[in-house]
Amino acid sequence: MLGKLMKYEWKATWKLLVPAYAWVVVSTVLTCIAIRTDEWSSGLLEQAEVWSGMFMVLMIMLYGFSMMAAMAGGLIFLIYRFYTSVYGDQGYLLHTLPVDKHHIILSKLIVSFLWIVAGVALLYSSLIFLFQMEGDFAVTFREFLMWRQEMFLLYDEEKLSAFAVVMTVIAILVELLSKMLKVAAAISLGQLSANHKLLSSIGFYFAIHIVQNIIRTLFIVLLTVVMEAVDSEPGVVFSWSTTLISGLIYCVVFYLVTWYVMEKKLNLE
Amino acid sequence: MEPIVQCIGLTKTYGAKLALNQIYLNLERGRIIGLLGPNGSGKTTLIKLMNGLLKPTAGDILVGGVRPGIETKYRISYLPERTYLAHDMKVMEIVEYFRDFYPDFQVERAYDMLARLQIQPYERLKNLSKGTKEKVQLILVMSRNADLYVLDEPIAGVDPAARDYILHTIVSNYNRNATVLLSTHLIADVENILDEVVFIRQGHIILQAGAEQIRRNEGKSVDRFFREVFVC
Repeated sequence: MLGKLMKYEWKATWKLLVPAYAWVVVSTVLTCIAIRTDEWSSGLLEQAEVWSGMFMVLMIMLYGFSMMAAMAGGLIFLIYRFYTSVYGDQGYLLHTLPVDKHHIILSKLIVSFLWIVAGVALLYSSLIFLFQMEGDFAVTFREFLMWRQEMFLLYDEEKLSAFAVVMTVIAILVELLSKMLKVAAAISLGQLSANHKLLSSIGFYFAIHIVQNIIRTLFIVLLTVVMEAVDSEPGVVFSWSTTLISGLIYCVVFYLVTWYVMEKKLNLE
Repeated sequence: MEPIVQCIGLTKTYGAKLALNQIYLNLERGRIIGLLGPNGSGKTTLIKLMNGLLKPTAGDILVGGVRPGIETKYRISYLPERTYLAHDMKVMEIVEYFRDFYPDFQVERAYDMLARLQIQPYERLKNLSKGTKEKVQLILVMSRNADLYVLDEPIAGVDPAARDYILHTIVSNYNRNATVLLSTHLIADVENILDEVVFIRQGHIILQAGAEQIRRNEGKSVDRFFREVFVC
């Protein structure tokens, strides 16, 4: 049944996301043409330069807007889709299908995950194509990972071996999954409220976020104290492994919360 | 034979509000049963509990001897009181959806009923009127060979001419060993097809009797009797 659920989840989402992503491609090509036109027109008539410059600025603005609309819009659409199809009117059909709740969660999670990864890959490719970043794709991808690693507080860049690159990619993907499951868990917990379920969901999301931040801060403080006690560099510990482990733990917790509400506390009023 | 539905001390509350209070009810197989009561009496809550869309606060509900779950969903064909289909889907896509998930779904029966009601399979649901959407949902539900058909207000949103067709559809399409539980407050329209009625008021079952038994014992129609029992 998981395959069938995924098939219909794909059908329900592609109608909006494929045109959105296609528009990203089109706006990238148009903006690239605008930039090139501006470069070619330099040295020509002054008026041509002015017009091509305006065209370029306009296209860059349109590009920025298109990117934001496609990415943010796509994300909001996926969240809205989860909310309405699981806990809205369409939930009456979904929850009366003879399917396991695990399959319901997994179908939505896998399809949304693939869409988001595709969106990020598209955004990244678009930026590379547009700005012709230095070096080849592999180098820039490596730079991207380095930047991500810095966010993970990995100080020692030389430690970015092939293994670390792979593990960093996995850690980023697990982190993304945990964030998606956090949204699913918050929406599910919001359904436990007698009234104002949507507001409760938003409240639960921020509550979970705050709790995560408190846990993270406590962990950093504790680890720093321990590392100082053994005279070691705390940054080495804050590598992909920390993100991966915490991501996996959050994935399990948020998944179980979502499943528990669907299986044991479903309340379609 | 074991009843198709058993409620054992079934209680459901929404916060402080008591929707169902200690209900004991058995529904037998092969019957068309009217679940009758005014608005807010607990009809929809009971139906949702049967379908696993709500969880009981206390007590138990069994369908075919087991609690609502995957197994019971194979056996129940449920029509909710709202549109539960995605509006951007075509009728033929929805038929395909039901065929994919319900092994007992009869595609030919569905297309036959759609043709008789002149509903085009390639129409998107969002382009259909409210009444036509309800007909599509009813066709989908009645195209299954289920053990229990649970229909929540199936005729509330359609015109009187369509009501006759819908009731005819229900009577002529359900499996004879199956039970049809039909919730409504439009009793006069459904009275003639009912074998049995269950009156529900403020979360209590106040009567369960045969329709013919009521007419014989009370000397009046079920509709008239209902109006007397639930007089405001």
